[in-house]
Amino acid sequence: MTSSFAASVPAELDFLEVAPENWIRIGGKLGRQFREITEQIPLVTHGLSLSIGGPAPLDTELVLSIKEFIAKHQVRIYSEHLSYTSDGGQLYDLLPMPLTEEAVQYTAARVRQVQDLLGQRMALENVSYYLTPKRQLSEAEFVKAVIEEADCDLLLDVNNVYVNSVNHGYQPMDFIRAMPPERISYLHIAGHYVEPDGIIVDTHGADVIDPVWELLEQTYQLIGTRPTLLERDFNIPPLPDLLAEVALIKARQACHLYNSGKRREGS
Amino acid sequence: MTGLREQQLAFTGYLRDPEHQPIPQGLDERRISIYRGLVFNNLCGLLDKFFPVLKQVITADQWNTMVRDFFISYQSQTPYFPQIAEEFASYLASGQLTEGLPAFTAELAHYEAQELALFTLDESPPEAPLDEVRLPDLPLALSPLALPLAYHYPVHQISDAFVPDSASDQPHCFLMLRDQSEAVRFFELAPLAYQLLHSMAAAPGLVPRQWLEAAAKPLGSEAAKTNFITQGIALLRSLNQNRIFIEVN
Repeated sequence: MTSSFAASVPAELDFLEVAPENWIRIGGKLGRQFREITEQIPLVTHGLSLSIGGPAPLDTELVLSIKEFIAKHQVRIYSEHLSYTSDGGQLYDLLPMPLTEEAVQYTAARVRQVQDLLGQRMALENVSYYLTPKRQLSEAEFVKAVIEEADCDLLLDVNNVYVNSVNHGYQPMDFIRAMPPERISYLHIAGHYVEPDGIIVDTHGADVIDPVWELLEQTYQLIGTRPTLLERDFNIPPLPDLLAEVALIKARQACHLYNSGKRREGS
Repeated sequence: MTGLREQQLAFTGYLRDPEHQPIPQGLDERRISIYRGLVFNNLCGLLDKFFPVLKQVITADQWNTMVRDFFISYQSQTPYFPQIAEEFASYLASGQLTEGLPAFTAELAHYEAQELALFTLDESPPEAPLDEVRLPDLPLALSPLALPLAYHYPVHQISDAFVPDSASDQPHCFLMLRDQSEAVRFFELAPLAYQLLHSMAAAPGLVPRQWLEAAAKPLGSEAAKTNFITQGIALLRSLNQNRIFIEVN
C-alpha cells in the first residue's frame, strides 16, 4: 500500500492523516516512501500514545518528537484522543475517562502543557467509550469543559457521537449542538461493528452507515463544512472503494455549500 | 471517595490481569468485557505482525499466555508502535515467563525484533566502502545498519517445518545488515569473525590488525599466526564491500 501510494497519491484526496507514533523515527524504505507521500499531499497527525488524561507523568519526550515531526513534514494539525493509554506502562488502547470535574482540570492542564511545548494548538477528539468509570458530568459537558478549560480545538468524530449515542442512550445531535462550533477544526467519519446484543464497537473496519452519513449532513448544516477524514483501520477494501466513500463526503460538502449559497442569495 | 488516579489505576489493573484483579466497583461486567477484549486483541494484533515466525511455531495458548503475562509483569514504555517488538523481546529476555515455552522463544523473538528494527532504523549507510589497502590499520566502528548477532539456537532456520528441541553445540553467529537496496540481509559468521565485529561494535576505534594479532597469539607458529591474520584481513575486505565500516577519527 505504501509503495503504490508513494508513486502516485490519488488526486481525489485533499489531505492524509497518520498516527505520528507509527512514523516517528522510521527510516529505510518505509521512511523514504513516507517522505515521498508527505511531499505530495498535506498531512495531519492523530496521536495514539500521549495518554493525555492518564495517571503517568506527561511524556514530554514524545511531545518534543512530535514537534520535530510536525516541522519535518509540515503537519497542519496535531490531534489526540480525550482518553488515556498508560498507567506507567502503555496499554496501547484508548481507555475511558471518568467524567468528573477533577478529570477536566487535570486533563486541561496537561493539554495546556503540551500546547506550550509544541508552540501551537492541538485538537482533542471525542472518543467512543463503552462505560463510564465515574460520572458527575454528561459526556457533552465533559468534552466541552476540557476543550474550553484547555483552550484547544475539537476534532469532532461524527461516528463516535453516533456510537456513543446508541451505547449510552442520548440524541446524537444534542451532543453536537452542545459543542462550541468555532473550536471544531476537523471531522472524522468511519464504520463500526455491532455486537449481537446491540452494543456498537468502534472498529473502523466497515463502510460508513446511513445514520452516520445523515449525522454528517446535519453537522455541516449546523456548523458549516469542515475538512473531513474517512477512517479505515481494518478489513481495508481496494482503494477505489475507499475513494468512493471519500467522494460521498465531497458530495455532501458541495451540496451544503451550494444550499447555503442559495440561502444567502435568497436572504 | 476515590480520586481520579485511583479510579484509573483500578481500571488498568483489572484490564492487565482480569483473572486476579477485581472489577472496579460499580462497573458493568458486560461493558468492561468489551475493554477486556479490545485491549488484549489490539496488542495481540500488533505482536502477530511483528513476530510471524514465533507466532507460527508456538500454540495459540502459549501465545495468549505470553501476551497476558506481558501485560501483567512488564511496563512497556515506548509510545511508538513499531518499537513494541523490541519491548516484547526485552520482556521475553528477562526470563519472567519460561515455563511451558520452547527454550528458543526469547532468542527467536530477539531475532525477529532486530530484523524489524533494522528495516526501519532511521540511519543511512556510509556513502562508500573504506579504502581497502588502509582498512586493516584504521580505527573502525560498525555502521548502525550492521548488527553482529549470536544465538544458541539456529533462529534463522526455525519454521513450522523445523523446530529445534535443544541448543546447538556451537553458537550461530550472523551479521544482519541493511543493504543499499534498503533490504535486510544476513551473513553467517565464523565465531571469531563475530567476536571481532562484536568487539568493534562494543568499542568503536578498534584497529583490526591489532585485534587479529592479539587473537593470533595462542596459535604458536609464526606461519599459523600469519595465515590467521591474512584470512582475517581478507574477510574484513570482503565485508567492507557491504559498507559496514566507519572510520573513527
